[in-house]
Amino acid sequence: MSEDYPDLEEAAYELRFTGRALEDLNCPNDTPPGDAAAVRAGTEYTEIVAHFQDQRTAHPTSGGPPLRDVGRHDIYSVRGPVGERACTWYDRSSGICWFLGRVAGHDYDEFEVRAANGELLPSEDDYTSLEFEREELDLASTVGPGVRRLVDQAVDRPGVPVRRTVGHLLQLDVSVLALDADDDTYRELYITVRVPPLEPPPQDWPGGDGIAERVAELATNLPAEELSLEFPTEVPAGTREVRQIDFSAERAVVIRGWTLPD
Amino acid sequence: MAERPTAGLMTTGFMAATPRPAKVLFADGSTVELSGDQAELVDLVLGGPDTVTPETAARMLGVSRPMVLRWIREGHLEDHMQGTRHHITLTSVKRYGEARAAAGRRAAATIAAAAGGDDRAAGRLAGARQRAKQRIAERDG
Repeated sequence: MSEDYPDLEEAAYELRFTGRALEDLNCPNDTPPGDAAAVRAGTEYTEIVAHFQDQRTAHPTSGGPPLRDVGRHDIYSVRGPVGERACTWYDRSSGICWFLGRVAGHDYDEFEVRAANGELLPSEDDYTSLEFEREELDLASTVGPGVRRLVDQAVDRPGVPVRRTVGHLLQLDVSVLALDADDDTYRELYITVRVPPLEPPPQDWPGGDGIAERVAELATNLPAEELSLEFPTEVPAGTREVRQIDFSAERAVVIRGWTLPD
Repeated sequence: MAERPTAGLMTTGFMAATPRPAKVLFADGSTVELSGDQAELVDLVLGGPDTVTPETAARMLGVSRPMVLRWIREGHLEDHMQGTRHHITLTSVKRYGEARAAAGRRAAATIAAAAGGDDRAAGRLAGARQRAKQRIAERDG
């Protein structure tokens, strides 16, 4: 047990592979880095991946000594059945045990070279992939059901906006307004999404209309290609009132000609 | 592989946190070895237990056991406790596993699109990339 992490038996974490590790394993480019089963299916080095799964789901640092000469003391080895070696790192703050790389034989020198070049630990791309994947999962599993409940409420009371904060990771303040169109079958559905602020805010935050488009998909359970979407600069704010979208933190989408589900 | 009679097919493997190899016995007396994973899959297909332990769920989902317990508390996995024993429904494990895999596929597609010059996709990644920079700054700081 590492002295740095006395409570590792209680650690909640996921297994994940860096992009460099997936290259070492000769996985196809589109292999999801958080799906160990997909990695095993895509690599010829299935045994080392299986060892990683077996050992690291039980404990984040067990199965081998920490590596030396890699600039830190919390990178551990996993030994494969044919003499190969992998190294892993338990990233407590991210809740991830990373598979950092694989080498043939006892070629720890390669890990040392990568460490010296700043290429051993997860890269910005690795963390971006992790963060976006968690965002997507939160959207689908938490935001989606919340938005659909709002849509149901909004459709029941056309002209009355309903609003709620939904989501865990990405707390979205969602407002839904259903308006009757000429044909009772169709509705105009205005969805406004306010995203939490980031300090400092990225240059292109909150990232164009993509978040609103994604929430529209979740609200209707339909892909964006099958929806008639527009991204307005102002939205209804009550009877005959409109308000401007606050583009520093909000995005809006209107779904036109949307057929009510049976 | 030559065709084999399927009558009398049975497995001697069982599902465990670390699946053990198993042997399949055919009606004609011939046998074939299965790896631990293959035995686990056959067990599932042939209608093995419809609940799993946290250890098995952890291995199936590629996470630690405490993470499985967290997901139970958060409602992502369905658990029927008997005394102090957890019985997590296999259906919920598969469903949440597929939800995670689908999120991974969507994320990978968006990242690939952004790398290919899709500005909308790049915009979608803005928040995630900002949080990634913050993580690296905290790690290396």
